[in-house]
Amino acid sequence: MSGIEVAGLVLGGFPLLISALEYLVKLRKFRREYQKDLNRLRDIQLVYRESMRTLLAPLQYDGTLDTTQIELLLNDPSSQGWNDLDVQDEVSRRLGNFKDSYFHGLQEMRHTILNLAKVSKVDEARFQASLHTSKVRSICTVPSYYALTH
Amino acid sequence: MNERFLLELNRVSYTFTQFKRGALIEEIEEGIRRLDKFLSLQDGILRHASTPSSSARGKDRRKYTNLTVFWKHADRIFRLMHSAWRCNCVPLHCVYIPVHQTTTIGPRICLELLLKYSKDNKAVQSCPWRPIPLSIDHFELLASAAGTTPAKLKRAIRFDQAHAGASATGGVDDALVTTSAGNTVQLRCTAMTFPEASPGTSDSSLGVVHTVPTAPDQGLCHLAVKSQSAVLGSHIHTLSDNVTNDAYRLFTATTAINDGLIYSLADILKGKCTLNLYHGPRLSIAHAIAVSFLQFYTTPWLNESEMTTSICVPVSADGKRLLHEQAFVSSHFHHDPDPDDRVFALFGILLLELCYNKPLEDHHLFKTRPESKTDSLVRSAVATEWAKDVEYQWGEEGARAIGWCLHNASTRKEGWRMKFATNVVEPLRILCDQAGLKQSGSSPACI
Repeated sequence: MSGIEVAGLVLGGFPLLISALEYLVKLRKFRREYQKDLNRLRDIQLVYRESMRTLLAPLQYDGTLDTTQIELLLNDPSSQGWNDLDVQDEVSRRLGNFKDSYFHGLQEMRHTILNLAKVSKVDEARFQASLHTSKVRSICTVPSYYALTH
Repeated sequence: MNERFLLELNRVSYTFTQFKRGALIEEIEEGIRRLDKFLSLQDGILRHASTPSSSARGKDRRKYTNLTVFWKHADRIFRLMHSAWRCNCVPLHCVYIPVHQTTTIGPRICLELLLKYSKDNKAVQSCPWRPIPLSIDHFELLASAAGTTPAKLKRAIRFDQAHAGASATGGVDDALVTTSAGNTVQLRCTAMTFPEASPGTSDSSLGVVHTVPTAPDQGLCHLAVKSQSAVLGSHIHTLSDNVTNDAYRLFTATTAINDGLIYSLADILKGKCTLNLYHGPRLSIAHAIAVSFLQFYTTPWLNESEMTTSICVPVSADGKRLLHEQAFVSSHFHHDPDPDDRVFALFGILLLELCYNKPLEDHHLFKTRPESKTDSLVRSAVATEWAKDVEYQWGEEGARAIGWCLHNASTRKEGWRMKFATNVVEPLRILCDQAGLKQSGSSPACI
């Protein structure tokens, strides 16, 4: 996996981290530490989404995607559209000589998000279990870390 | 107690990793900035290196590449066939070209047509040959020079056992013997070539073609008589100009046209036919004609000034239905095209007429000025007025296709074929898809 499909994984990584942090913010003890990270991650998610929109927008002019499909890709990181061969071809064509650097940058971001999840204890099973058994109820659900790593 | 301890432990450990988290988040921010930088650099390059046809990019370009070069082969086939007629009855002969070509898929160049002795065979006494459906395949010769120079067969573009068998056993002459050894296509051929019959020697060595006529060259009309008994799929002739490396093989095929009662599109739109073309079939024909226009415009196959009369739709045997899927372009061998930008306006008007299912002359603006019905300027003005309401009939895509034909098209602009493909053919294809119409094989969607 080395192409544009990684962009979908990165995009999917943010909601996982944000949801987990939102859950933790509900716990009073953790509020101060987590709130700051949560705000920064929300901003980053927004910026990354817009960056992906800039990447995909020209594809609507040559008929590869329409605006609805682009929105679907941005809203659903697990969408099969990220693996679509036409989309991959067109994104590669769009990136020209920067294709390899761009995809490499995406891979690095994916690793960084994985590290951040690790450091943030999002992936720690015992910690997750303790959160679930605690009396604090949250409107947020802690998503599976599995989705980010696979 | 354990839970509280664990939570507290994690809170403390989380606090200790604050700097690491901060660094990682900064790394992500930096990563996004880097990606954006690549994008902006690439966009800058694209802006500066934009080519005349850069608007038609990517998927569309790939889809339509084959269609946009097809005309060169169609043109060459016309001229080769034109010069191959050696009879005095050539003004009588005509060709029906299905607008839904079923074999223009992928890189293969193949033209299907129905060769007719005359438009109405019954009107000609003792008509020497019946209509012949043909499939014309392109293949390439590697020739060091034209004429009698031996030319190695680079690769037969199409080869299958069925044709090989047919050509060896059921062909009308024994001009071609095709054998296959593994992946290598071997061909021994003493081909009849037009227009010049030059003396030479026949070399039967495999893979070598000598252009040596083995019999007196009596032209296509003579060949057509002989082809009446040809087995389906037989190779009956090879057309080559001895100048380029392109050659075309003629195979007998099954006809996709019901050669009975037919109506021209003009007659149907004017209501001279009691049968109707409904919304779906009109849309399907519009798309197919647009594809045909792309394939045949500027070649003599398409009479650009009489499109509505040269496009015909057969009627079913029971007389109850117009067989829109068998629509065809009727063509003769004596038309010399005169490419002109007005053809796009004419095409736009044809699309308008198909959209509204009535001729432009029926527009209410002509009621007050019936004398202007033939004035091209007035017609264009009325068409522009009419086009304003297309969106209500064919939506945004239809309006885009018609608007482009009426206002933006020009053969003087480089790459107009690709622009026509992306601005007319593609929107009509989308419309057909939206209407749930099954596309023919010539549809780029299938390519």
